[in-house]
Amino acid sequence: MTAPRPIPVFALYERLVMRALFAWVVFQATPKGLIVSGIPAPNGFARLVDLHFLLAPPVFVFCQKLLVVALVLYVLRVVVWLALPIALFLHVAINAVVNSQGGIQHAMQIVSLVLLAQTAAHFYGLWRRRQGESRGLLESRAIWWSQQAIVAVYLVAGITKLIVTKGKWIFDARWLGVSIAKSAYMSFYDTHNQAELQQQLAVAHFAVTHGWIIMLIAALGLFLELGSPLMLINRVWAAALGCALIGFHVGLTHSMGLSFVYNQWLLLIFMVNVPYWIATAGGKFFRPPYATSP
Amino acid sequence: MDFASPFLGVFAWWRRTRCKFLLVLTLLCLVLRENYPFSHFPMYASFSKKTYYLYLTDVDGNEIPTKPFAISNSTLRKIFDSRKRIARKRFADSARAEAEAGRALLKYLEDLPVAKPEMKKRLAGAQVQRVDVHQEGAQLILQKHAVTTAP
Repeated sequence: MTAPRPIPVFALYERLVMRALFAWVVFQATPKGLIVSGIPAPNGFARLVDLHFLLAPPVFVFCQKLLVVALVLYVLRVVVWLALPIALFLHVAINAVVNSQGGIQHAMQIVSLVLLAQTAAHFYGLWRRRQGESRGLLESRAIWWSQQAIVAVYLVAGITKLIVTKGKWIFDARWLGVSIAKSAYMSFYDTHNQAELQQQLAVAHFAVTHGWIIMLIAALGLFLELGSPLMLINRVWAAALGCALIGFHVGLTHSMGLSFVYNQWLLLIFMVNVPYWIATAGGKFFRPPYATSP
Repeated sequence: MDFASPFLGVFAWWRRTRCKFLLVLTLLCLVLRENYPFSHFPMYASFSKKTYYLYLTDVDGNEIPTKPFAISNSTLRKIFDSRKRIARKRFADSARAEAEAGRALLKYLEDLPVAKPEMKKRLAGAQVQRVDVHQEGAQLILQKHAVTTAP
């Protein structure tokens, strides 16, 4: 039987930059205050664990400080086996409370899933080390699984579109103008930014009058989502499709006010991986694309 | 014919692939759907010729922004939709269910520990306005009506 294929190996400077930036993203993606009066519609993790204790302000402040400590330990690679589960628990618990108010937001899931991937990879790696695996692979696997978590988010979004519309998503996209108009007014009632409203309504009008062009753009978006596993081939694919997805997000931000800023950050950190390309261009720390474990 | 070979083939592929976590997580997200931190990411998974959005007005008919309540307008609608689903179990009439959901939404906002108490005062006599958006030919049509009024 063929042996399992080796996982990619990342250089020390890549791991360090990724770790620091990811810790910053986790901190940013964890609400700094809970403006809620309870947990009226428990969702996901909030159904498994009673999270009412987080509603007490002193407990919440303590949890925030604990999260910072856990993230600092994670960046320093000190007691990671403790820091990662604590960071995962606090980040997921606080966001689960936010998502238990009757409406689900989809901005933070990608951060939670990458954190979950890193925690799972770390403990799996510890077990593999007891089987004799090299110590150096521990963090590379965490990054590799983080990349897979990011891909899973896009792949699932693409598959869901096909399931919900019975494969007709691209054809149905000709009604996108209605959704853009709705999003434009929704954003307006958040910010009262008249200029932004007019800009987005112009896009909505274009979508209504140019259905075929919109279908082509939607097809490109769906291709990027369903083709996201290609990012796992090598660094070139990861960077190219990562940039394409970031570009698509930027386009959606301007046209529909859907920024998904954490998706963009995680793509930039784990897929585009700017430090690698700077180092490669400089030739200082050159490594062949995706050196792999033996 | 060897019936075992396809399964052995799948097993060999599974053993060889280095993307096991991707496959497991994809399946978990599709099966568990909306259970934080998992999601099947249904946003914009379907498009329709008609949709709607909500906004709030005070007793004088002035718009009340949602941001001071620390929620987005999109969340406002999601909360309204979830309350409406509950109300539909009690009222067959859609208008009554919406009025009930609107009242529940205003109550939810009143109970929020918002930083600015003056925002709560504006909720007295506030209305939840619903705007239906639909496409007719190359035209976008918007129709507004009040869903409910706070006491």
